[in-house]
Amino acid sequence: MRPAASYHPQNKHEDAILSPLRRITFADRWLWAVLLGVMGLGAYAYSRQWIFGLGVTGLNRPVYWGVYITNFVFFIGLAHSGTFISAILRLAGAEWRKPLTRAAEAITLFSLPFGVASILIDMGRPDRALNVILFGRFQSPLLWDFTAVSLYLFSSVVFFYLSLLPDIALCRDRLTEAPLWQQRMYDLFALGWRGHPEQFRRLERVLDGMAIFMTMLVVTVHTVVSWVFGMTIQPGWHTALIGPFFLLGAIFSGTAAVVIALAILRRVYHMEEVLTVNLFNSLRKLLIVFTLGWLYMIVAEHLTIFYGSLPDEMEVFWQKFTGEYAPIFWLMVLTVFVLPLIIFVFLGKSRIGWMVTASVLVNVGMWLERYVVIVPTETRPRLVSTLMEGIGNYQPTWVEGAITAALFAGMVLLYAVFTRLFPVVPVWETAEAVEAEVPPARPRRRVFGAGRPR
Amino acid sequence: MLKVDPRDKTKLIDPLFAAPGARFWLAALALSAVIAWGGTMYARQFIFGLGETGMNRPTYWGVYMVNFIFFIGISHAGTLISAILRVTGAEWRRPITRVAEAITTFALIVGTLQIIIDMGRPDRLLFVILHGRLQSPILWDVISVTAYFLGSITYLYLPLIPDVAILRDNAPETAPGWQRKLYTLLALGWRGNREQWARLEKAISIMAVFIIPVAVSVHTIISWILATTVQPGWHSSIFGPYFVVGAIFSGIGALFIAMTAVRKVLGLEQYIAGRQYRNLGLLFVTMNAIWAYFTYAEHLSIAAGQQVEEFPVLAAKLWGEFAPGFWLMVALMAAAFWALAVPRLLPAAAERVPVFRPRYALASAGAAAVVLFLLVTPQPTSVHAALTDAQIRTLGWALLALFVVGAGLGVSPWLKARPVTASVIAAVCVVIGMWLERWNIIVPTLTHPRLIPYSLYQPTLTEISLTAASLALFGLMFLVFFKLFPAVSIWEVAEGRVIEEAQSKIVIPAPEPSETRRLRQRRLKL
Amino acid sequence: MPIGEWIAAFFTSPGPGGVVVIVVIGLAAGIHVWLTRWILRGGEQAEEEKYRFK
Repeated sequence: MRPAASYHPQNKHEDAILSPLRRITFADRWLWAVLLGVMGLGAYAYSRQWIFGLGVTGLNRPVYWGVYITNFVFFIGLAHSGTFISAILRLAGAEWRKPLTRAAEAITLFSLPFGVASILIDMGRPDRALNVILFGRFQSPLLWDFTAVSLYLFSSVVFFYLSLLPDIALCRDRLTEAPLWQQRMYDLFALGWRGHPEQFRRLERVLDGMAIFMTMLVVTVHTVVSWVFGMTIQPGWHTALIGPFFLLGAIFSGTAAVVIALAILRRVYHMEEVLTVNLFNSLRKLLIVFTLGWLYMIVAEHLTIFYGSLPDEMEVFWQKFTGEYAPIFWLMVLTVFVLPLIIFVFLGKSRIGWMVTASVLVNVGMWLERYVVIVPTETRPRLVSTLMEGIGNYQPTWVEGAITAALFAGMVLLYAVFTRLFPVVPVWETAEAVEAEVPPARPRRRVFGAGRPR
Repeated sequence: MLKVDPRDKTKLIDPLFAAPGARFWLAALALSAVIAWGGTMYARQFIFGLGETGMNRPTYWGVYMVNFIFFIGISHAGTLISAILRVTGAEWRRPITRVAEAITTFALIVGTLQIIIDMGRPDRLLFVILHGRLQSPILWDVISVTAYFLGSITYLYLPLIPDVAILRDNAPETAPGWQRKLYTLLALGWRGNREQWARLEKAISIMAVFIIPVAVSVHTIISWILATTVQPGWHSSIFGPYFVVGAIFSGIGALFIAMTAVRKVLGLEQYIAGRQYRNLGLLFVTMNAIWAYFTYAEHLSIAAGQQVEEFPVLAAKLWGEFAPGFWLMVALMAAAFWALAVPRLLPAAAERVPVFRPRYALASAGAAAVVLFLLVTPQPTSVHAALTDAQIRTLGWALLALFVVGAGLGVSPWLKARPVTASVIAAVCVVIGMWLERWNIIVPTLTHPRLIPYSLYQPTLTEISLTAASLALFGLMFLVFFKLFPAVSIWEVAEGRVIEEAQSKIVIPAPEPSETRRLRQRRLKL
Repeated sequence: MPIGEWIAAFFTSPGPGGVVVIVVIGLAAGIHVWLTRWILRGGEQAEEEKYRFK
């Protein structure tokens, strides 16, 4: 039951979307080499950590969690971009998201493993990761975390694969000049997809159901990750808001990452017709709402702490506002709120360059934000009232920096290789929803809850 | 001379000029009686002091504060519907904006009244203005509620102008003089030319964008009055967003009730139709889920923290003296979620399965009631001995859960066939549940304070009467307003008709019909 | 049925947390494989009778 070719819905941009898959350029190889080089450096750094122990990092008592855990939370946060675009916007009936879904989900798919890897890297004895499975306590947020993230990783892969399936069949049928191993790969992964209307119908139904499931999973995963911090009684961590706070922050940084990815793809692969400026404008509106919403949460958090004036909490508070971590904190405020808001509101409309700038700032700022949530609390813990010499400081070393760089390089590498093997815009989903670049005429056609007027 | 569609004339304009019937007078009389009773109780409180209420040390804030937060919460209905949906371009909001905006304005009035009622010396209200400290959340509260109130009145009035002008121009000969004068005055000389419409649209759009942050700030700041203290159970950073979510949630509930009442009494089924209930229902279910998430996050934090002063507050809510109220609230919210979500998910053929029929639902509900009664009320010793066994108790709770789910399933097809009734049931559950939620936030903390011995709080007749009177005042204002002004925004609905007609004429050239196009007619079924 | 004991055990035992992980992931895997196969089964001869093109 291997049909020579299956049915593919007509898409006038098919050639534009498939063109990146037909050749691998010199620039690609150069890029991959550089990225592999960075990963190599990271591997070397890790080998030093493996041999000499966690002393080569800046971790100490009481700062048990540092850059590695920041990376963990950051990468898991990035992963929410894909689910937000594919699942949540799908449920909201936002048709404009269709060209973006694969690019966004690819971010999810390729950032999650690095998030999980960050945990393993953080462990001086990675073999002890098995202990969670063997001896994990049911009431522990760490176990829920492990379960939730594993389930999310698994489901993301499946969701991604299912929505990729018709396009793999498309590649198999169209990319006849590809190397043999590549054709075999398409053949294998296409699972004999025939393109029968019933198959499409069932696929849509399953994706609808999975969209609901993934939405709930997104909420669960990032909330559970935040509760690893929130369910302790560390000052600065033990806040009830931490759940929604991390969740909104994740969706925020993820959407900004989607903007960056989209802009790069658009430029490098000449997809101006497919990834239109309107997409960026829709994302811009979402990003403005998220920025304001997240600003609201940060204000709520810190105002409550400040007014409470509880001594333990205030120690951490002043660390962030005027103390050691003040430069990073205020830099974060600048790069997450002030500059992006100015850019999004005044400069971003239909200007992709500015959108990318703001999104890069947002992501840098969000990484700093994770750092600022995690580290200051540990430097002023509850019971260490008189800090001894050398305790309560954290200075990341080159090992941590190299490994962080390697993680980012790895994600970019996987993404870049992926875009040369599979179409980055879903051909079958955008088949009839192809819109020309025409500004929507008045009256507005957006009707809540319905794709078409009833 | 503003013209109006004949359909709109019969349904929306004529009732305003007809003499008020017996039902109207009866309702107005009943509500006024309750308000008068409340007035006398307030006079007593004014003369004899706050000792007439149940408040004491340390329970400084009681039913009045709960009412305050409750009413201000309900006032978020207007902002959500009118402003956010307008900004996002949701056309289905058009028939319900007037009801929503009216709820907002009246709820704000009644809510602010609660504060004045709560004060033993209302004249001291001036001190906020004369001696208010800028760093006090109470001052911010006064500022934001005032700003919101002024904004809401403007936001109610602006879209009312064209409608009032329509009334002015279409008043029948028999209309009383005072009514004509009222409309002429309020219409501010509206002529309905292009320039005026353009300016009005612009003004409303700007108001819509600006009123959203004001509304968010109102309930956030109210929550910060609680959260910026260090009271156990209050000092939680989640209060800001939590209260806003709860406010929007209860606002939608109030909107459901009000729009159904208006629809029923004035016969507006053509305007407030299935589409409004469907979309609002989806929003409602989403807000329910978000609210549940926030509530869970809040309580789990305290449970996991196990801090010495915080935990007794939680314990009092979960299994202490506030447990009935707390679990009733949870049950009501779950019931509301069920009432709206499950009928959507149920396939039409479910009725053939016996479990999905009303009589089984009733039987199940009865059994659940019996089990609940056995479990929570004190029993004669013979039964009590059996019930103290841990295993039998657990079995009892499990059976209760089973019966309740059975009742829910049984009633689902009935609800599926009656979406309006289901919405109202859900809305009533939520409105009561949200009042209980405010109660559960304010009173357990105050009765389990940090440094002083615990106490009890028992609301008195005064407080109950004044709550009833506040609700009656709200109802009366609503009644009178919709006797004088159209319940549906005539011009917005007319505009909507024009837009829909224009949209149906827009043809987006489609690609060649392919096999899959036929499949795409199917929409996400919820 | 010692349901009460089970609940108590949940909150106090240092049990193998891996049970939860494996059950959850295993269930998810099973469901996902079944769904994928169901999708691919669409339009097979036997089922063409049941579904009509609308």
